[in-house]
Amino acid sequence: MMADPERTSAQPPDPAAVDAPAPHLPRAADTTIWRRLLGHRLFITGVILFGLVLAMALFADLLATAAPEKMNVRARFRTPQWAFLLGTDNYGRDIWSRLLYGSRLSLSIGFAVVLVTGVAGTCIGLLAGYFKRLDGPLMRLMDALMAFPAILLAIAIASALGPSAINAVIALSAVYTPRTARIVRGSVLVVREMDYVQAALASGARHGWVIWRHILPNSMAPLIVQLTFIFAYAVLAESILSFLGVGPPPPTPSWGSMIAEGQAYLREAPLMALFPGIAIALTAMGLNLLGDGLRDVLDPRLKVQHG
Amino acid sequence: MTTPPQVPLGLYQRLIRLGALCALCIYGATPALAQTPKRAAMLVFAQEAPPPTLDPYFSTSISTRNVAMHIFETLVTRDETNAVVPELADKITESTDGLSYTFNLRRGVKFHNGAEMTSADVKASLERYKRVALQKVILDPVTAIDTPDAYTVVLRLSKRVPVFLDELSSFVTPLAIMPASQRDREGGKVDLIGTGPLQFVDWQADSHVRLKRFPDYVPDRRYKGTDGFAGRKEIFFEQVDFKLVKDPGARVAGLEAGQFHIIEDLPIESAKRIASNKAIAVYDLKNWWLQGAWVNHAKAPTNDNRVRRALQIALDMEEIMEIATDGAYVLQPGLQYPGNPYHVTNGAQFYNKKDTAGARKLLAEAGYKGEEIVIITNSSYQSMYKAAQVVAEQLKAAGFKVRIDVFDWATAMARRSDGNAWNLWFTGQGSGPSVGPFAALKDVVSPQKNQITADPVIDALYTELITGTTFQARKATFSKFQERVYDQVLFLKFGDLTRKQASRANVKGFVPYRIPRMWNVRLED
Amino acid sequence: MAEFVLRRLLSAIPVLLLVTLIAASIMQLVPGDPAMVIAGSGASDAEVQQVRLALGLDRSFGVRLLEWYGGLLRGDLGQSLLLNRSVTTAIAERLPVTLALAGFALLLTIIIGVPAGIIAALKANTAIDQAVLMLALIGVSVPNFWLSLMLIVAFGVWLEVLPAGGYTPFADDPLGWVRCLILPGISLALLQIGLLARITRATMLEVLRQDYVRTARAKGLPIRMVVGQHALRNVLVPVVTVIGISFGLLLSGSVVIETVYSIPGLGRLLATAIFSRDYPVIQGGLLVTAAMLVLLNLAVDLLYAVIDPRIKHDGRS
Repeated sequence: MMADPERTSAQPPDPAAVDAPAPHLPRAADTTIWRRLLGHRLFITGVILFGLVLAMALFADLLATAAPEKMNVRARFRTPQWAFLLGTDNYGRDIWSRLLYGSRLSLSIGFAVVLVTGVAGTCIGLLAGYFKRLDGPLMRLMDALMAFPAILLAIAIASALGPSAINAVIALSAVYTPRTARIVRGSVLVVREMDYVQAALASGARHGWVIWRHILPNSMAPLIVQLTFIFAYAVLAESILSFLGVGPPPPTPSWGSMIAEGQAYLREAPLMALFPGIAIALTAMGLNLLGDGLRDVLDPRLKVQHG
Repeated sequence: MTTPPQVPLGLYQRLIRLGALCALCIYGATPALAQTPKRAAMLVFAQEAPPPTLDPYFSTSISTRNVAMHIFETLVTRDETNAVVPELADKITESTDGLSYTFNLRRGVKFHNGAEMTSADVKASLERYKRVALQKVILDPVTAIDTPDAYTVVLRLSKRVPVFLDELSSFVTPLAIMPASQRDREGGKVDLIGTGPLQFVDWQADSHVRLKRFPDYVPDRRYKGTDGFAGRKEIFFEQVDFKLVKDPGARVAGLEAGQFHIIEDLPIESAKRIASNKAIAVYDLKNWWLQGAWVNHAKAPTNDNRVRRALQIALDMEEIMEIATDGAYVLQPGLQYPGNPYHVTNGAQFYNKKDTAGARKLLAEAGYKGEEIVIITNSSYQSMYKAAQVVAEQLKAAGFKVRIDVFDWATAMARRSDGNAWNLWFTGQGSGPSVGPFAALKDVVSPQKNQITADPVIDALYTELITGTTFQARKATFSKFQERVYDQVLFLKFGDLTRKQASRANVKGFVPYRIPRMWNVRLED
Repeated sequence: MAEFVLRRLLSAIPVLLLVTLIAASIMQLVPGDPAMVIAGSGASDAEVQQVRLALGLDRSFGVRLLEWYGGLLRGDLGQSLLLNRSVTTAIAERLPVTLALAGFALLLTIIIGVPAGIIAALKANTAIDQAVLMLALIGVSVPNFWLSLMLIVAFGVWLEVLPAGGYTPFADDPLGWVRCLILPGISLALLQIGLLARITRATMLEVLRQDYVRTARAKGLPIRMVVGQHALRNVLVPVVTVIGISFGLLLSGSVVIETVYSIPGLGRLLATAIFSRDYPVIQGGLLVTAAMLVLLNLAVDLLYAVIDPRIKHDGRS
């Protein structure tokens, strides 16, 4: 396991990186990564689960049995039946169709957050890890952001910017970027001390070239793993934002706001809140399994050895 | 007051006095013993929102009023029929020219600190109200406050205000009578000493407000029992707790478990289930507020009355209210509640038309090119949130392009003043319509003009309304006022929301009202 | 050691100041102010402005911020705009509640997470192992506010064995206190249990892979005899890890859980303060939260040094 340079910033190690794989996995250095991924049972399960949710989002138009916003005051609170596969809510809207279209919002926000967090985290982590003078102030800022309970920071930013999908992405990215920055910084700190990097610098290579050719490729593995988990966190966090009323506004269906709307009718119509929660859980499970598989396969120790 | 001369008493005289005293006590106590039921220790009321302050001058919040109206009383107030009645005033005389009002105060009314209420306290309260109260405009016409003696207050006005007593008795920001010592206190920083039947003990924000019975309270014998904000108020508990319970599910659960005796708001869906529970009594509080939306006259496309009319006639009020209130509503076009003396139905020809085709036609006429109708609603009041969803869908079906912005309450309020931020702003008009026609929709009148653009006609009608010298004149003006509101779509009314409250079945004497009244309430075994 | 502690505390100060600055700045950008909340829904713009003036909210952001920092130097966190008490009092009333909830959740986490992880490692790759991993996976994937609602329906409504919300102080009724913490504690702990079980399992697997253990097992010696002290020491590492991370996650999670269960804790205080724009409470509360986090991390790092001296020098073992 690599030395943990993150410790200097007063944070305990990331448990996701401590988790060791079960001993029976093939660890031979010459097995290709893809082969190992495909052989990893849990990874495949994750792919299937996430794939199902992705299919829901992509084929919502085909799979939906009604327009998700269509209200029907005479069909309120129906239990699951042929016309309404998962029943209807208090507006008389079809829950199954809303679940399908809600997946679009969750997945697109999750994806956007991953993109922004990945890019921003990489930039900041790179700068902090590579240039010693930037390390201090940058990490102080990251620590300050991480000292906020994540959900409060997200609520505050979302409230300041206004309710919209884009602002939710910004808010969540602000919460998760410090975490990715730390991971990238950690990798960069290690890779920077490697022999081949030192050799390149000694022979006069420019910083930009060194970063591009050596630092970046060898620092990516832990980041990619972390990003899958961040996708899961983003889906969960967006649902909390919507639940609290500061997420993307209606009438776009959102799993979180479906749960919020169901909260008022918990006793009388518990199904309203039940199904979106299951959907969120399944999505997060799929992503977690994906992340676990990636981490098992892309173990940093092996990657660094290859150089 | 002079003290009697000190004369040493002989033993015989002392015994006589003692005997007389005992006889008096027994005589005085017996009817009381026969009438007053046993006092229970505590009554617990579950309230849905935290009071932002307990200073009645400094807020228009229901949650403030719920508590403050038990601690304080006013000169004049409203009875159950909403008529103006005296409370701390014994007699009110209006001069023939309407430029002065004389209030004769009741005697022997005690503050919670033991001092008797006098005209000095009333004058100080009026002065404080004029300085810090949110509705201090009520006292704008008052040029002088005289106190010729300890129990008389005379207010002199600069001009005749026929509805002066109506306004003085408004309970939106009640003119509570406080001790003179409070006169220079800033808003929200007042000592909670009033003349009401309950006195302040403790306020744990976010948890509860605790009040206890004021033993020296003298119930107003002019009334027979509970009567609006006034009445003969007797307290049958040593302590009354106003507990803050925001979550409706928790309120219901607490009521069913016997933790709370009375709860403020019963969610309608629960009402159906709870109605069958023999241990619980459910009450309908009709006419809680007008559910509706302000319409922006400055921002396109609602700056065109044809577009506004299209909007107005496209709506199906039944569908909106059914979903927004889960069945607890009454559909009627009036801006006053049925039974109210000023209730009129002008404008009904535009109300609940459900005419999607007609709306489309009007839009075509107006040359509507798909400009977006921006709706602002909030996540704090469920009925406003739900109503907005339904309205959006109905408008879309009529050919409008709609966008909904949901904010928390504070943000929504901040946005309301930005004339570029919305076309429809969802709200509930609560106390206003209850107080009377001149408070009903006064926010369309300048300078507030919630519709952003001033409407000189409505401004003129409002002035006419509050200066009308007879009831008939005022009612006629109000009919025109309401007609104008509908004709120009200054406000979109959906319906009257009915609130449901509930109590344990052994709670007797609770009659729901604009505040939950804890007086004359008893627990029966 | 003392120098280490001092250095850490000093380096935490700029972070704490930054936290309050960020908080104040963000809230400045949030539309609306407490005057609107206080004035009430029926208030006109003029009435709201009156309240604003009375509270001094019309002054500039810079002035108000400097005033707050000035108070901070005197140890005064300011006066809540809506709660009728000082910020310090408001926090002091609610902190024990959150700590009770977090403590309860942490206890559940350790009691369930550690044994689960150990058993899973001992029975690696069997059905039991898979079951533990599956449950751990569910724990980290399920949205805890949704789980709370489902638990309320199941135990608070249908079965009616536990309260559906609210908080009973320990002093009033110890049994009631425990009962009202069970459902929120479970909701809060689920994520941590999943994490701890997995880490414990991984650590245990590492231990079991050691040569001397494999030899002993081959010889037929019972695990307990061989592993005992050594495993315990190694298992403490992930437990301490979780305690460190947990606190941040628990505080974040408690915001939502306290809201759903109507528990008067610090998390709900902060969330409500944000929605009602109670600026002094927000700034003071976040400062206290961040300070607690810093202190906790310091304590965890010190604990690491005690458990395993190697850790202080060359990273994780």
